[in-house]
Amino acid sequence: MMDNVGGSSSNIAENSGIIREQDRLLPIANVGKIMKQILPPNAKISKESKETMQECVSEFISFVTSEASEKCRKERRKTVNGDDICWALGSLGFDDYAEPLRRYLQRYREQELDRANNPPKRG
Amino acid sequence: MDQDVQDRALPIANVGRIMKQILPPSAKISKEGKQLMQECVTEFISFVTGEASDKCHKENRKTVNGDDICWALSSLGFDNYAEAIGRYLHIYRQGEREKINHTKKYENPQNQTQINRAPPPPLLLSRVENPPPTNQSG
Repeated sequence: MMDNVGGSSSNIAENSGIIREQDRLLPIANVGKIMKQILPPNAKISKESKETMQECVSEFISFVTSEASEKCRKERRKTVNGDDICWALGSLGFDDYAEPLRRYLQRYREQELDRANNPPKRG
Repeated sequence: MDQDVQDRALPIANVGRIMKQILPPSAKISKEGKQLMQECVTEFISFVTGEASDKCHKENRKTVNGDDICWALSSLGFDNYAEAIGRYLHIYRQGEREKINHTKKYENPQNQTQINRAPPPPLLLSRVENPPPTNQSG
């Protein structure tokens, strides 16, 4: 279930103390695609607004992860899990997010359990 | 993963990588932790974009720009974000202006003296219909 993130190339960057742009930001095409789905069909998105959102999203991830990480450190746990993310969101005032995500987490765990109990048949 | 879900999803490896940078080296992130963050970030983008889009609609504008994103963040209560992103936007625009000025400088012949201008590439020289006579003394 757990997995360590970051391939060898990003480790090189980390070791030299340099964080590459592609490691720091989410792909602009994906960010733009999500934004596009929200806008009316005739609307456009400027390049600067996509790049602004890119920065914003990275900051958001860092902010929430940092809070979750602090909780794990205090509880002497090595692995950040879904509950920690939910707790961090609530703790940082994103209560509107925390509740739906708890439900998402519950559904996710039910599916994982289902998958474990009923593995796909081969042959 | 069906197409709709795929369109809405951000690459989980990238999400995990950003999370990893914040954690101590010995820490790990569960798969569910990354997937939850992935879901959360998608919702965040939609939430902010929706607000920015409403502003553009009210002002009869077709294009969402950086200021609209800043305004949306502030309007939704992300004041700390709006302030930081406002500073980012200012720096970003300065950079873009410098890029444009730099390009203009090297594209506009009026801004250059004859000495500074690079000679045309050989391919263009070979296409000149009537090349000037070369001085062939000897």
